Amino acid sequence: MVFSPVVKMTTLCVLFAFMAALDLELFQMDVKTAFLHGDLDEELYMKQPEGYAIPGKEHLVCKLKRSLYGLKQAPKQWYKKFEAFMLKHGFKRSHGDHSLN
Amino acid sequence: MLLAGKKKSTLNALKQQLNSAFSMKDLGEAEHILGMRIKRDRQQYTLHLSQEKYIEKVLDRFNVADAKLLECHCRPKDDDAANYMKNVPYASACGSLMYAMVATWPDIAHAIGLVSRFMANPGRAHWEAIKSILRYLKGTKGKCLCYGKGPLELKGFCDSDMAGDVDTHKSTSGHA
Repeated sequence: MVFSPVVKMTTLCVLFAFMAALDLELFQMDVKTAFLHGDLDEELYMKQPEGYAIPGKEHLVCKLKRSLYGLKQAPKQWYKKFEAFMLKHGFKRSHGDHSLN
Repeated sequence: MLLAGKKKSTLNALKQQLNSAFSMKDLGEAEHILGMRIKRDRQQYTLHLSQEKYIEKVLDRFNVADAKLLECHCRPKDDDAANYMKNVPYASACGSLMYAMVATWPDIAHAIGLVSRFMANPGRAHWEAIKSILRYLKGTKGKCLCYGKGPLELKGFCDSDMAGDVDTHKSTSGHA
């Protein structure tokens, strides 16, 4: 099974309640092309992209070194990467919601 | 992603770390998340959540401008009604409303619970019910959910209507 955690609405609600009551700072960030950061656990190949096929070697395929958008495991691999980063920097994963650190 | 903390300096340090590992885009103070708009008043210790834009989108999508209320039937009785319902995005509308319910409109929870029961075989009347919920949202779309200052304690509420369904004598319960 390919599973990647998604934030729960209740987590957000609780977070907002804390924000308001304790007057905490709240910032937002976005990771550019997040899914391209993921590493692959398995060997994956794709057809050469249209217009970019090497002349004379059209029968060959590309081996993927990193995750791509549209892959089934892309969200999961990105989560894995991000989770490793957070743990390395002293954050703990919440038991209630794995997308809360 | 949202970053929350007591001190700006700690958060800025975390931003730096994130920036060095991934290429990030700093969106400043959080304003939008999952279709909700966040408005804060730090002096008053309040945080407002509004889904006005989301509701406008939903209204636009299901185009309820020409909506009229019809008499109530429990099931689609004839082929005509069945054909009519075939062209109606009943489940999509239900889902869109459900998101509004979960995010900032807990007051439509009961109505959503009712219309969702007919997802498998909806009739005209059920569609009209959905349209009236949409119209309710149209009237109240400017309203916000407001979090304020208060003791941070967990409270639970529940209630049941004791065999309130006139058709099946089943009870409807809810909790918050």
